[in-house]
Amino acid sequence: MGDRVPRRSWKLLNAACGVLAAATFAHQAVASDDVLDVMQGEMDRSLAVLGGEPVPVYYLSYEVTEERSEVLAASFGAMIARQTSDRRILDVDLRVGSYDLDNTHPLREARFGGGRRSSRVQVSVSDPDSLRAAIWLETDRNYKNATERLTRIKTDVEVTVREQQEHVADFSAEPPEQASEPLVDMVLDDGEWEHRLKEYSAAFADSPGVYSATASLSVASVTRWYVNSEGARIRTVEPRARLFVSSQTKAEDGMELPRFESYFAFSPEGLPGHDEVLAAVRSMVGDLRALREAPMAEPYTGPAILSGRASGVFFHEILGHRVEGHRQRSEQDAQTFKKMLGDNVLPEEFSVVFDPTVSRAESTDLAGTYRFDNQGVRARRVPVIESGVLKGFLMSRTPIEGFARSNGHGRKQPGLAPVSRQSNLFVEVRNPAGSDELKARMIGMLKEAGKPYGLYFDDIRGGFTTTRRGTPNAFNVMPVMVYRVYVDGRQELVRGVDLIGTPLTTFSQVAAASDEIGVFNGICGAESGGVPVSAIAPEVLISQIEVQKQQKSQDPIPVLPAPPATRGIAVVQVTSRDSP
Amino acid sequence: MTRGMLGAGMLAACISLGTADAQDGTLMRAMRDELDRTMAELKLPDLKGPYFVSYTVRELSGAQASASLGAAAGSGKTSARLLSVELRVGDPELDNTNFYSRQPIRSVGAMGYGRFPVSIPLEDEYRELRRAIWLATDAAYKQALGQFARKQAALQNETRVDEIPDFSPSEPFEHRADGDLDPASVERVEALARKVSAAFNGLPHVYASEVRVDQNDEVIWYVNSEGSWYRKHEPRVSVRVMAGTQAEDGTPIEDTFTAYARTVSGLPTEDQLADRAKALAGRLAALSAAGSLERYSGPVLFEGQAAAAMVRRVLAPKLVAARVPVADDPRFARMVQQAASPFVDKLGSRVLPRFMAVVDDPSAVAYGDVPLLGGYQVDDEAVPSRRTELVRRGLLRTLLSTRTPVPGVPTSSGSRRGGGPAPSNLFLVAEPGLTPKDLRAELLSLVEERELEFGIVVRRFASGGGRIARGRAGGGPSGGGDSRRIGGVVAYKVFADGSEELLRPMELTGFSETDFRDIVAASADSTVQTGVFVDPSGAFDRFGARRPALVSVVVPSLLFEDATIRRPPGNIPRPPDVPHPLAVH
Repeated sequence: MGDRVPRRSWKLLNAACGVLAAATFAHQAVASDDVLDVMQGEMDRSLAVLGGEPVPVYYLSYEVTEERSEVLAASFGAMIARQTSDRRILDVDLRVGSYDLDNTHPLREARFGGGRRSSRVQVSVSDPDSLRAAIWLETDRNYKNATERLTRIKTDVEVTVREQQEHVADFSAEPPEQASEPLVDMVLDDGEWEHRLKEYSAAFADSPGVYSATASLSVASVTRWYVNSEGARIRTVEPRARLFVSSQTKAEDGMELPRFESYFAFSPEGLPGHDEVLAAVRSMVGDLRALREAPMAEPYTGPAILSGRASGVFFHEILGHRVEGHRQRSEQDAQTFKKMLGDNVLPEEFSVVFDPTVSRAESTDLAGTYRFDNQGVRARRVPVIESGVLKGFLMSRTPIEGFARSNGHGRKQPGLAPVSRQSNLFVEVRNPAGSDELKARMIGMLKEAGKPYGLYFDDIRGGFTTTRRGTPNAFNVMPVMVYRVYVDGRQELVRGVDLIGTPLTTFSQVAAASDEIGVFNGICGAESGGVPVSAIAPEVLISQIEVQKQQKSQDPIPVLPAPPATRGIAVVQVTSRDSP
Repeated sequence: MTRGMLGAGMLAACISLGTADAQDGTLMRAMRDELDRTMAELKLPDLKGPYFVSYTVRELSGAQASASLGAAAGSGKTSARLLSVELRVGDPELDNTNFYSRQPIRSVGAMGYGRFPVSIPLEDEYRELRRAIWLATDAAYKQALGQFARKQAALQNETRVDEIPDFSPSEPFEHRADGDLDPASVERVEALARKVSAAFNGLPHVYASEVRVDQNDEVIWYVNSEGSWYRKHEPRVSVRVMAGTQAEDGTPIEDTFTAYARTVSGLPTEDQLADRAKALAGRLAALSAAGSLERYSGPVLFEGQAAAAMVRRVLAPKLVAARVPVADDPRFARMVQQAASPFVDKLGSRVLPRFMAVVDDPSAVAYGDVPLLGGYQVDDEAVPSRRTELVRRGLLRTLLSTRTPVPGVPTSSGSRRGGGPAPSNLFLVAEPGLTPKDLRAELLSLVEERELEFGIVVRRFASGGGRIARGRAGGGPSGGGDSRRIGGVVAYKVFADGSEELLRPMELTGFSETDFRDIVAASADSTVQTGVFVDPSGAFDRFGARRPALVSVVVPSLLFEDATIRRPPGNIPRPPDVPHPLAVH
């Protein structure tokens, strides 16, 4: 992803888009360790030659990612998409030079060079020769590109002014990990799921003014085989299932008002039961009706409460992206927290931890869970803020000043080069208040400031932030359900605002949290592509936030009313009994 | 069974299907009903309603698979029904179409529709089909009004030089082809891909190879507000075989072939395809070992497949009437001019030698025993297809056209396929044609006349899959791209004594459609080549193109008085440092 437009956004789990899939997931690959053996064999063979060249390879890794997926989607009670896909992508990380300075060192001229591509070659895992030949060709291509780039880097380094005082290496050596997870055969009951998806999306069919209603299920079984020249041999299996219900209405003034529900689990069976989803869908129908009639919110500054899910996205955007280690290294990045290690950035009750090893929270599977990252490093818990104090960064194998080693957060989507990315973000609060207590505190603030109401952000659809120097370092969280909370405790739904701000100012306004925890599972997009992440956070009170009006569609509601449900000329069918 | 009167005891009212309905099915009924309502009622106060609306629904079932060395690499399967709406406001003289705006298409309409096609229900649910069509029509209407207003604004300060209408009339036409969707099977295409790709096993001189099989079955429904409608069935399957290597000095050498058919059973057999793959591997070996030539200018004979490829890539795209849209920005105006066919100005002029003619014939089904796949009975705008004589005695008579007129071509030739006009089965004919022996003698006499050491025969354009040469200069010819530079020319030196010498892939430079005027002679026999047609105006299509049209060309060998071929420019990548893994076993 070019980070020319440096947005790092949560995208909702839009299963209806692009991905394709396999009807059943019965695994036909050869015994999987054979795949690792082939990769290992080809790596050894390449290193035997390329390790002895004038510009030798000092590090080599191969990763094959297999995605077998299926997508089903229904709209207003009728199926609109059925897709299956089955693909395997080879990624090669080949390095020449040394851990200290290698071919991945940023080039001065490459201003938009964050999204280093590795490769995107489809390979087979069912036949050793086919896999060998593909690996060989990609290795050769990577070796040639690497040697050429290293020559340019060496010149570049000589003539570049270094901002950082301390010399930082390009790559960290890590202990070789070995693991082999059992393969999963995911079998989806298409008939049952189609029935469910139709029922969810049909719930909107009789609601006038609802112009879009889809329910989709996407299931994928992701198997990764990884070897590197340090001795790592890893096979991981990550099954995923996502259920996504999306609906949209339009206010009379043309404003588009969406409402989503998304569910994530490690298997289709792990998703919430039919009745639970149906209940959520019914409340979506009611919410859309309420949203359509809700008054427009006005620009506002003052106290606000973010629900657990909203605060999860809030922390992901304003904190999470700014503690991704490689950003502290880029001279185009604003490096908000680079010099703040050991400083207080949040109230002392607050701690923030990234932990990809936890797979469940609040009875929900967590999408940002993994055992090994995309650089063969074991996943681990990383405390980033302890008792309000900034303690560290999320690290890939690209070191930064003061952090020489990876902490298992080098992540990517297949075909792109890994950078440090978020996993499961936990906001942990000592002595949380009750939810009512939090609301009472906000009302107290309102009275003190003489404001008639505060805001409560309930549901959100996502957000984005910019961390580069050329642009203001703002964030934007896009809420779906926002309420005015009046000093008398009354709540009123409003529409049409985004929560905005700048990171350091907003952090200094975080006041308190309750014991109401929310979980947000999503896909985070940045330089190394889309990676699944989670945020688990409590309801938080912020003493001052700012909202701005949302961008609004200029298009009015449809000119004609909805067409009739039937052809209208209903003719009675007569049985033969009535025949003359 | 007879119909009686409503009996007193009847409780539930059911919908009965009339004869026409039963034949149309629910989808067509929903399309017609929403079309009727749109034409009768869709209108914003103080603004015009549509004067023309058409709906096209493509129901498709697709499966694709790729394989390498006998092993499956990836596969996928899709079912979809895709709706495109073509809606016109204004009148046929001046409407919202043929306009290119600097403003991107806004996401319009209640569902954010604005780009077509959109997915509509796969199932025959009348209510949901109508809902989807209704919302898509609403979006198309608002988009058309916006385009029309911007177009009128753009024209306000200009004097229209050519008063060409935006839309030409057409008689209502009805057509119904039977044939149901053959559900695509991943297993079947994957098995075929694996079998054919296994042909490269045990051939380590081939560095990369891949076979890709695409099965794409489509049923297309169309209805318009003038009373035309059709139902077409257009199945298509293709097998693309790509292979590449590097010569000893590192020169990338790649070649590809694609076999097309309407159904899997119409394809060459697995064994035949495997044999062709092996022949491809053999060509790579021969080309790797061949000598090279810096540059040659002189008479060149394009034989068989090479002549057909030249016509398909260079001449055929110029034989269609691509309309130059009005642009609201002078910078774009220059860009859109490039979409114009240079042949629009050549109507009545010489484009080929006197002894040659060009005919487009959508009704042709075979040339000898070779099937032609470009045919159809009705085009995408419901205009019946017909034979069109494009060039007679070397003079350009007309161009293949749609209902979007261009100067000199006021009506449709029934050639709209996808976003614009496309040839169907294109025949290039020489009267008289020579025998292969005479054609070769003719080449050698031109060579002698020029006092050259040898002449050149081109037998093939080796288009690359890109696996070897990716990111490097050269490579194969890119259809619709810069026709003045065509790579992958498989050429032979031909000496006076008749002996031949194969050359490394060369590049044909400075070659364009005007060179066809200088054809000196052609053979009596022709070669068939089928491939996709790259619509030169596709970039400006706003109605959502379909998959590219298939074109079959039937072309004799062609002797050109003058052509230039040269070694592809740029440096040669180094050969691999590590030996091929299968060579060392």
